[in-house]
Amino acid sequence: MYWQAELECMDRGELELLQLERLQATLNRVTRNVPLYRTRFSDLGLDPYDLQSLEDVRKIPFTTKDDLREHYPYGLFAVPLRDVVRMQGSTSTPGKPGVVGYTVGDIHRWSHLAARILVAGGVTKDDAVQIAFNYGLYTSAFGIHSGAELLGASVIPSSSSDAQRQILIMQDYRSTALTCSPSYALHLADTLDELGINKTALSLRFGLFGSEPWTEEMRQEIEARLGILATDNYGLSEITSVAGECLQRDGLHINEDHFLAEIIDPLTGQVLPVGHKGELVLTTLTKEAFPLIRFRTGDLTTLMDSECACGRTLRRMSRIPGRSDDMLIIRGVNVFPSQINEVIISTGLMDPHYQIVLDRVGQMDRATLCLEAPESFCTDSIKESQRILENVRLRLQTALGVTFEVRLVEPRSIDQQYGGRVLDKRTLI
Amino acid sequence: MKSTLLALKNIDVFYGHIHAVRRVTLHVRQGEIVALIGGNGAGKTTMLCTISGLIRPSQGSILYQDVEITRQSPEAIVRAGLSHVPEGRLVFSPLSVEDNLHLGAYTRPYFRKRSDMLQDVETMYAMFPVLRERRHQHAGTLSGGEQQMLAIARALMARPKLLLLDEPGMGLAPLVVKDIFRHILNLRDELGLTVLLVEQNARSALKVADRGYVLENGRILIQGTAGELLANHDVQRAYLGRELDEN
Repeated sequence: MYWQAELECMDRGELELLQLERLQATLNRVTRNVPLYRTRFSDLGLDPYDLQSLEDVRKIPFTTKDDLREHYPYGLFAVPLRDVVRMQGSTSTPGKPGVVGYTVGDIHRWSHLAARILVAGGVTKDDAVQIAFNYGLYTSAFGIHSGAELLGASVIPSSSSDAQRQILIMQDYRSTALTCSPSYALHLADTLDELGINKTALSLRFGLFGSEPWTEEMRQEIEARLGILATDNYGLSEITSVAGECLQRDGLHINEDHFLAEIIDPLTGQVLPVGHKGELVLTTLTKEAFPLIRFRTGDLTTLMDSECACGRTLRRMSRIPGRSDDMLIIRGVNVFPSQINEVIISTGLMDPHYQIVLDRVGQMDRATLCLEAPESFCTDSIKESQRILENVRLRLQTALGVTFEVRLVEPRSIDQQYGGRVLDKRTLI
Repeated sequence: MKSTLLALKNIDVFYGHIHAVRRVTLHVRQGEIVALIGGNGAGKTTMLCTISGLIRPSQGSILYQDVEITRQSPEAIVRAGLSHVPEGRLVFSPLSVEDNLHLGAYTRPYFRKRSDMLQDVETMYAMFPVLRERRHQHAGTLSGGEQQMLAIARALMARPKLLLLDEPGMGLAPLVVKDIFRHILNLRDELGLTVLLVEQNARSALKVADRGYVLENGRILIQGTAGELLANHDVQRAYLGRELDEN
């Protein structure tokens, strides 16, 4: 099943011509409308005119998260603000989160791309899709939401209510498809067990999971425990819905008619040939409000050129096994160690020594902040130190949206050499 | 998806030192109506003339049914199935309507089979009844709208697969423009004709078109389905004459 069969199964030659046509128009637009690109191109003596083939895009420098941060909030918008109908936060920028805008047309195209991913994952208009992603500034619950509505499915925006409630909704509304992060799906499975509910009491058939790296083992566990067929999908608020698995479940089909994908060596920036693992770089081909040229996603993957049995000609990328920078994904939320550092310093602790330990309890991420007690603490009351810890915990929660366990450890007990400031004990693959 | 009938890749056109068209890449699929819109001097007419071989591009390639036609003569291009209806109609004023139509069949290899051609003239009269009424009149005495219909009918006499229409609504009353565009839609729906049209009247063009390209200073700035372009605020401000603050 396809959502836009003509586009998803397009002849490769025609697809590349369409990409070129859209790339040239996008470059003409950003040169005219976005000061960053205009000055960057003119500094390098580049003109969109120099771009004759898709490979020529390599002449253009990358757009990085730093660019997003430096031009916060609206510096990279290519349309006046009055044309923007929605704004969302860009989570993958350290420090101040970036702002991404969408025009009516952008939202319309995004919905179609999300619908493609839903259909590829087995969802039809007869399904009831439970969306257990948080509806907020930093998520793309909205993408999958409007895609499911466009498809004609019944949307259940259960958002981030607690697990018991999710299961109640799942049972009573008879949800047939679930979208959330894979770790949350396992959390739901745990809750099912706790409540003593058998998976056969659910109507679930399909699960579409994304927003964090997950393994084949997790997939098997989710499938077995929820009795569903699970597919992976990939998107970023900066770009929208990039790719999704079909039922062959051998790589995610990239929406190449809307995004140009390259794989680069994260250290040298050199473009790597198909089949090599590297950082995914995306250029938007149809976005109006927030076009991005050669945006470094920080996600590591491999492009796959082989034909897919599903009939789609869109190239696939392997499932994301990790990141090329120090960004952490904790329970689906993107966190940079530098942000944690800022928060700790903001609580007034001087030169704090700490370590962040990430592990899993069951399949849920657990984040612990081990803070070395400052010398002054030794003489203070327990009550005082608990107040400080609570303060740190609350600030981390507010600033990052992630709950940390905060523990005080002996002075000089943290060996910074081992694991550095972040000790990620979660094992993938 | 219907196959690509016409594909332009990296087309550059110069008039002396003036760079009229810069790296234009576009495609037209079988059975589509595609609109090229843009202001005066954006390069729209130049594009059509380049496709029909009247102007040579300095760079780039034009593929028609996967065959390169970039360096072919205009006659060969018409024979291949591309007919160009020029801006301002350019009917042969002193000739009768019927003679204009006969001339349209000039390139047809089976020209000598007169009965074939007469049959086609009948088809044209059926499609544009007003031309039958005026068949013996000098073409120059027709109204603007009638001349436009004659120009289209004349182009159709070459039995094209792809019709290039330059400003079909220019200088015509709004009602007549509407009628012309209704005919263009019929050509596609009934004859399966593919149409690439250039129009300053962006709204009328996008109403009948499937897709469109916005040209500005010889570059393509925006491309998309007609619906997307009609909803695009940039297009609305620049070419649809609508100030957003009004609503």
